[in-house]
Amino acid sequence: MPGRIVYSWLPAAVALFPMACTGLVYFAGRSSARLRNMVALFASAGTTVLAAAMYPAVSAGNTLVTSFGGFLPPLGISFRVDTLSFFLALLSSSVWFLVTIYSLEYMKDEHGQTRYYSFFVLTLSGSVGTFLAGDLFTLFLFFEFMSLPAYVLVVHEETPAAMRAGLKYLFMTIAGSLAFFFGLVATFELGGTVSLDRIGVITQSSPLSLFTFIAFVAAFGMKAGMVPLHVWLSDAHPVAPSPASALLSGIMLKTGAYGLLRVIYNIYGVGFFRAVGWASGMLFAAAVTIILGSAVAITQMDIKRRLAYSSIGQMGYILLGMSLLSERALTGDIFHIFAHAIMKSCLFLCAGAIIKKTGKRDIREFGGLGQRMPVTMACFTVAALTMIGIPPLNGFISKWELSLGAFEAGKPFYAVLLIVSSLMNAVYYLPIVITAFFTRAGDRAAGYAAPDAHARHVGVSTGIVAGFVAGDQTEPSPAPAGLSRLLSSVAEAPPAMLVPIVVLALGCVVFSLSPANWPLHMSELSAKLLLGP
Amino acid sequence: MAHGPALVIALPFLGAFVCGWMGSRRIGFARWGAVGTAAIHAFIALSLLSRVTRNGPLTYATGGWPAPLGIEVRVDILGAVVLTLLGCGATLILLFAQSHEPAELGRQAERWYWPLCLTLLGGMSGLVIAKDLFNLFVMAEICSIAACGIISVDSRPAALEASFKYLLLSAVGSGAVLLATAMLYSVTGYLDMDAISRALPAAAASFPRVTMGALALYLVGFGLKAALFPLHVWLPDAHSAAPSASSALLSGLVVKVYVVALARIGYQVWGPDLLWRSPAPYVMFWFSAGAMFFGSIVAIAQRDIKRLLAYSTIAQMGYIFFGLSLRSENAVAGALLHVFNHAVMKVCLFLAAGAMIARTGKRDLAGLSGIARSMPLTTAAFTIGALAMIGVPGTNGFISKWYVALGALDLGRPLYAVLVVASSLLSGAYYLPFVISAYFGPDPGHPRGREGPPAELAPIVILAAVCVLTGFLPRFPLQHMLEVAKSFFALR
Amino acid sequence: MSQQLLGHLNFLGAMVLFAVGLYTMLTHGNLIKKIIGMNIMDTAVFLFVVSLGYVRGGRPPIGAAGTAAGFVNPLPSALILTGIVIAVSTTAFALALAIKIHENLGTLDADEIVRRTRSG
Repeated sequence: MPGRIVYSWLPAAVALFPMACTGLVYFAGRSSARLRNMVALFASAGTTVLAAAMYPAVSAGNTLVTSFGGFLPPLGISFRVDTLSFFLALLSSSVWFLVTIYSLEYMKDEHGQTRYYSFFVLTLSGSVGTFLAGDLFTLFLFFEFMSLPAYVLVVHEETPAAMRAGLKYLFMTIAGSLAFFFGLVATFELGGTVSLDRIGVITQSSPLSLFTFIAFVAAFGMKAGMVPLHVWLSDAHPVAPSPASALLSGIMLKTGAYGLLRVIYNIYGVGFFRAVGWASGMLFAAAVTIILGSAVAITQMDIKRRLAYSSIGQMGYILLGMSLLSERALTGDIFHIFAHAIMKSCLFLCAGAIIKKTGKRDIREFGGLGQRMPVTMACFTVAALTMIGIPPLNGFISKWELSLGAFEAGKPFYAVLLIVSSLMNAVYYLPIVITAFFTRAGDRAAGYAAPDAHARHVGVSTGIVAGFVAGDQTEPSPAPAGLSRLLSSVAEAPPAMLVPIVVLALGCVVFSLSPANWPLHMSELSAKLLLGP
Repeated sequence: MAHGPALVIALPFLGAFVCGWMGSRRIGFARWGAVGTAAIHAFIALSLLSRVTRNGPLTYATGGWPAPLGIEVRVDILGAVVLTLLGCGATLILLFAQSHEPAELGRQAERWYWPLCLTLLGGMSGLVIAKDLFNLFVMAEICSIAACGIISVDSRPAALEASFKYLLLSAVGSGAVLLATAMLYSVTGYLDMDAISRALPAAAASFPRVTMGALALYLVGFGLKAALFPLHVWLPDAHSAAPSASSALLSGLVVKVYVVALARIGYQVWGPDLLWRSPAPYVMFWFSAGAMFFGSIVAIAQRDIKRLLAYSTIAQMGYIFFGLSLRSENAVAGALLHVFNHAVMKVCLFLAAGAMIARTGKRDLAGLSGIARSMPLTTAAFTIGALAMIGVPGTNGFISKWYVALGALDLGRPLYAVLVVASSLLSGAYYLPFVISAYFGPDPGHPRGREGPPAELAPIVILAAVCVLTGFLPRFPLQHMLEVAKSFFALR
Repeated sequence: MSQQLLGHLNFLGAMVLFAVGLYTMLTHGNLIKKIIGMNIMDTAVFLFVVSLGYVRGGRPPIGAAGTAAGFVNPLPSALILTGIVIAVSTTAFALALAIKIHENLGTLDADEIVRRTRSG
């Protein structure tokens, strides 16, 4: 790939800007809530703008480099932005921006908002820095700056369940970061450098290099929710406030995937990997992750838990894509990082809107939501369909590329696996949509059953009865008229919450429908870059 | 400053005398005299450090008598860095003690407290720069007695008992050290470290058992004083029963100087070649590995915050010995760096804990839950110290961990690096639950908005800031320690 | 063998005394006995060091310059003077602690002390 190395302050600015804003948010929060919210918004918007400002250089095929020497004599803090880094940094900062807007409304009446926004902005710095890091050490540093503050977001509600989930998260994170630490030291020992500017830092296969790889897989796999290291995820994501869940699931999981990409393709190099055959272990883990994540998701009745398990399954795709070691699969892989970030954030934000508006978390109680919150549910539907992989939505493109990649790699079994898992996705997403649109409020168990005519009939009739009862309970004026209730029942989330949801839902559709699929293009370029000459 | 090396020893002793004398009439004089002396000590140490880094080691012959006959002290880089640590650490601790100890000790005990602290400082300073083994012994004895004094100064039964136990065990240690010194003298005819170092290879060839015995006795003697597992039995009681400022002095500084003494004997007297021909480093390795795990696991079970910190010290001392027992420059540099880093963080933690205990009157972990709401800054400093203990990047603990792990890999022993990593995880297991409960736990009704007075708060905050600063800009202690480690391995 | 033993008699004696002292210190419950043990241990070391300087038939090291031969080595004795001072002060401190403990707890038995401090 033709391209020059360009020294630029931009990458450092992108990564450090939010960190600098953290203090501002905190101090602003002490004087005025409005000011604090504006600063938080400004921080994420500014980061997005700064990230976007790297586009001209990156699109010309250049690599942006910043380095500060002498942190630890052989090491230093350095940033290095190629297409992949740029793409993911832009993705995360823009999703962060949207989620910040959403938070303004969602968190309005919550306690500890200053704490929330401070750490919210700090984790942005961590995750963007992770994507832009020029060497493993910097990546480690920012990985920690993301993971540890995220603890505060996880336990924000301070309920006993949140504290328990938080403790689990914290210990898994620290165990993961120690594994990372070990991998880092071992890489330095084996390769003499931890820089990501080359392909193949570790070139010899030895027990230590295998050990190092396992340490990296443990560290990043933990973050990415790889089975069996996913145990924290299904607890931590649901208990966090919904915007934080959106980021945890949408962006922070991806840092794990990104780290593994860099380890496999930069530290070891694809040639090395093809030679040693360690990828088969990864493939196995990915397959288990896909199946297990989806299977458990089917059994979950709490919307956020279901989404969390779905994330595990989807991260399985990403792990699969990177271990197939083919260009097609890698393209699909990177595109899926993008696609899943958008759709999972959208789904979590929708779930948040629903929970905030109705107080319902149980999927079986979602009857009538389609009437009550039409926009939210429409967006939810779009994202869910994307998740299932209906053509021509984003999810389809990534699965298509991944399947082709599986064939290209000579492993058609994994293409079959992808189809099976799509079916499983359908099994756990469609009922939510069907319940919301085709059954009525209070129509609990029946609405959840298979939507055949009989069941719907029963469902509707019980629903009417239940509707009266529920109406008496929930509405201040006891006017029990079914139709007028339907009409007057539109109670959408406020615009500040709705706009991010709609934008994200559009994100699921727009790119895949437009002829010049820009994210796909970026993914292709990134894949080429990772595979090297 | 030509007499700097003598001054760092003489000044605290002189200060102790004056403070003890004046303190009987005007206690305020003793208080501020102690801080002032420590501050001047820190200043001299800093100027020595800058001289030593520019001009190389500084040898000072007391009374003008040169080495084989006279008594010399030598300030090398290791000595200068540790002196700086001692001076600055003691200044901060005594500053903290200003607002703290008068209430905790009572008037009668306080009179003795300040002179004892200064005596301890003088003893420690002498220990790290002594060039002959007999002086090493004398200074170690001064430290022991002064340390026992600052534990038992307020005559609480628990403190008396702990102090007695400490005194006896450290007497065993001193006996071992003196015997070892005598044995070395009998085979080499010298007490001066350099001279012994030159004569030792020949002596070790003709009297292998005597030299081996001496090394073993040194290991036991200084190991006892530095609480190397399984010789740590005195530490938890002594460090937790002592007044808060004393705990910080003992856990942060006192145990460290014995490590420095042992490192000097191992690397500067024996030298790496001879050292690794003896079983001592291997024994130390297994003991230290035991310490890292034993200390941490027992710490998990603790309910009292000061006992928790004391057991953590055992684990962290194990960590330092672990690095010293690996034959690798990086590991030794990491261990010596951890001497510095652990001192900073442990002092920070003990002072923060002391402030919390003083404010709430509670020492048990459960009783301190929710403390962050009334003491945000103190708790934040404690959190930083705890994160540094775990070795989170961006704190100084990370840097030492990095070098010890790198050293383990230099030796081709990834499993050792895993040990280091696993012990960090264990320290997370006892620090984090407390930190979490401090922020999110139920508040049992602590007095609201009551941070300590500035003199109490400032040392805590400064130390926490140092943890972070040397985490991001580790040049200052790191480069020196790398140099020291290099010079250790350059000997033969 | 016996020749070798006799040659190192001072060493052996010191070791035996050291062991006796250590044993007394660690096994006896009474604090005063512990302190006595400590003193025996210290004395063992002192004896050993002083014996190092002994030269059979040597004269006291008082003489004019240039007559180095035949003197007893003065250095060990000088050192041990310091050592004795330290041992005495340690003993004094330990005794003072023992008195304080007795004042506070009314006992000098180690186990009893532990029991009373834990309960009170």
